[in-house]
Amino acid sequence: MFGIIDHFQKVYMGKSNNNPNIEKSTFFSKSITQNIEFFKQSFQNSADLSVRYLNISGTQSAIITISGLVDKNVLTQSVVNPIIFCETSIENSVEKYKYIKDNIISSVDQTEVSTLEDAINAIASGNAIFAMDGCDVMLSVGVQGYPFRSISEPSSEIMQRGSREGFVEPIMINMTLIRRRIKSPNLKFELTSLGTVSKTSIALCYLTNKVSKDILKKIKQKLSNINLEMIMDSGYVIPYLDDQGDFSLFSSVGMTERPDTVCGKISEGRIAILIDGTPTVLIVPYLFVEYFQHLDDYSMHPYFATFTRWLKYFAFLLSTLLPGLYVGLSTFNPEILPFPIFNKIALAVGTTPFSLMFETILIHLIYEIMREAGLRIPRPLSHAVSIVGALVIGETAVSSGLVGAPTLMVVALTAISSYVVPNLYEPISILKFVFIIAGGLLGIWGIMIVFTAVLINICSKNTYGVPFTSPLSPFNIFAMRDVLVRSGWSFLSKKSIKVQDLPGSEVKNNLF
Amino acid sequence: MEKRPSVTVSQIFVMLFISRMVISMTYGTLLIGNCDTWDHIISAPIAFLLTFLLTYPIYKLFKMDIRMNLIDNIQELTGKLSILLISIYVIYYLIVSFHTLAIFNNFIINAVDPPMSIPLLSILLLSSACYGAYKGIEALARTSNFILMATILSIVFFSISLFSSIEPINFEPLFYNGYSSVIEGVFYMLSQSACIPALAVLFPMAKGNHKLGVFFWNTSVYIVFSIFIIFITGTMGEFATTQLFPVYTAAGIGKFGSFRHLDSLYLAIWMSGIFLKLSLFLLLAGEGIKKILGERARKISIIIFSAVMSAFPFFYENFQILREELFTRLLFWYLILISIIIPIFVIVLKKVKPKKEKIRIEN
Repeated sequence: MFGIIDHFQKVYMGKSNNNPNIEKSTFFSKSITQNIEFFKQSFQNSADLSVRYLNISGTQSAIITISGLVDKNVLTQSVVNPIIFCETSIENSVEKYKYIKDNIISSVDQTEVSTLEDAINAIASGNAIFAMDGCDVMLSVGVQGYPFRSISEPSSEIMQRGSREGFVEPIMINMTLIRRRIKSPNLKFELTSLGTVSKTSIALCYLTNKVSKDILKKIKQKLSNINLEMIMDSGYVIPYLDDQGDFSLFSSVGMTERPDTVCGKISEGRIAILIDGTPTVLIVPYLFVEYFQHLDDYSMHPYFATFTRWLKYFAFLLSTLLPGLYVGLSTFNPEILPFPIFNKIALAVGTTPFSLMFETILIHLIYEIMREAGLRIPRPLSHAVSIVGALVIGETAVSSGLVGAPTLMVVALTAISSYVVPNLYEPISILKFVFIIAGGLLGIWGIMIVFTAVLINICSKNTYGVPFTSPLSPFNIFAMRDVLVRSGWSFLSKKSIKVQDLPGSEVKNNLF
Repeated sequence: MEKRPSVTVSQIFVMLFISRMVISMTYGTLLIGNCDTWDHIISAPIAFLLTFLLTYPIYKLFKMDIRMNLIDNIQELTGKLSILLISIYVIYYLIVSFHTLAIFNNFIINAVDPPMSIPLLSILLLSSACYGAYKGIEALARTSNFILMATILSIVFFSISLFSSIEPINFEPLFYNGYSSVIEGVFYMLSQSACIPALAVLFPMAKGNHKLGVFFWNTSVYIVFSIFIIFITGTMGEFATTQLFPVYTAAGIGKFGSFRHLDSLYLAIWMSGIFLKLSLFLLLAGEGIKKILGERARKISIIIFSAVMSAFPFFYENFQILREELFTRLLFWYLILISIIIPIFVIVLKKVKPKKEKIRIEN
């Protein structure tokens, strides 16, 4: 027996079970005592492993579950009660098992399992395992029922109009949210598990008539290379899906908590990756221009959606470049600035003790500290942080002559602008410091050098064979209908653009 | 044959357009010997036509086998001589990079004189260009689209801001001082056409209608160049001939609302063009090295070339040779060698060799 357990541990507990070539099956014996011992050994007599023994016309049987993962009412009504009240004259254990499976247990979701690995997966997913003495197979019955957060609007992606539904933690609920919106049989979910210990369920979601076979293959390949023990969140998977090897501040993996956004993306040939335990769904391939697209754009009037889109582009440039330009122009190229503005800045600089570059970096750092504190602090205390921030930074620092009012205004404007495109906050927060230093050392020329280096970094990125900057560069005039402007539905619906059809894409549109 | 990176014809010609504009923006008659700026409006169409002629041998060679660039052909047809011939191209691409950096330094020191470390600025620019060349042609081609937008906007902005400053009296009669200015202008414009030898390597990388690409590129280059001549002459007249960089001086005159002295802004955009040109020619030099020494040497050579060039600003604060006619002539004859003579030599070899081979097999 211990030989079998050793074998199980070798195969199951961490030695890359993702490789299909490695043998990983531990088959059951016909003795129920031995089989239950398998489970107990596997779960190391864990307190939440529950075994309910039953006697069915003289044959010993058991129902194995993990407490807390099953709905006890459903288990009682559809499995335990029917078995207890069942009377049969069948003597043969295998025949009796078949009879119970086909005629007694009333659950819809039933699967036969013959290996310990499958059975463990099933009970860890909230199923009940029905085992009978004399049988070397078991029945997995779907009786899941664990507490989870109810479906609500995601706080990070608020919409003015449209659905208020957001993803939740259980993967099955999230799959349902997508299926409810796309009723096409072309919608496909492929379930797999990742994490040698956590065994986290992961679902690839795509439309078979839209997706590129090459992209799908590459994603599966990358997922199979993940050799982490635990997958607790989508953030664990992102680095493996992103371009590896090439450093970039920008990610080519999109994230959303909205099912409607996922549906929109997969309708353009993208693949969504759902991870159990997190409401964040990953989208690949994800392009740079998509950071500026929001589902609200499609429920507003085209002219207003176009206006807000341009606002987002402008806000992104403002949040990245404004502090650097402020420092660079004021220090080295003041002739560009209109005289009254330059006068105010010069006056402020003259009355404060620090250089403009140092002052701007300092205020930005203080702001970032306050932001981080605001995120982590218990909610009742967040007001205190806001008040301290507003008073100390906003009022006292200026009145005491430590920092100039124009600097504070630039920092405030930058901070607000950086939240217009929230998914780009991370690169923005780093880049603004780089631009401040470049501007402070070399003026507008330093900013331009860094800008071109960042530009080349973005342009060199390929996300699964599709240029990250497509359709802006390589340019596609037709695709501009949803990039530079948001055209009306009559024009948008003329022809759908799949991600693999974008200019510069190396990925062919291979349909299944 | 190795897999080539794939970019479109339009992307290639956008890169070349920007590379040419970078030089056009530093155009000045003082640099090429004193001559009349306005006469160059006649030089432009002549140079425009001659550019087609200079491009033809490389284009013809490319059409003979669209999978191979000139360097591939040299390697295949010339045996051991290929090292020498490829080296001629590598040296030319490096001279162009060096020349571009020298113009940048010269410009910054003489026209702008900013209160900052010029060597640091040059080194950072070169590092950035080295990074661009390292990332490859696809990354450069995509970046060029964004730089093009900025360049076009700055040209439009430049034209609008200067339009009201044009004085008709500044336009002297053509050929007022003879025809020599026209000839000098043609020499100057052609000598700066480093993009023609670049096509020798770039043609097979581009997908699309190459002939149309060459036409649009050449036309747009000379249209913009003519616009510069019109604005420089119209706004500054005779004064333009005394300026080292008249386009920059003209930019300083322009104003837009309460914003004045927009020259620094143009300069920043011009710098992005310099970056692109440096990256492109470093990349081309690397491609030549790859043919001689292999793929690994390509990446290393790009870094070495950049490192060597980055030492330049420390030794030559003011690169005088750039002001001399000699350098313009030298570049012109070098251009003739690598755009006309060597390509024609390779074309002849390409036609003769298979025939000789056939005769040998028959015998």
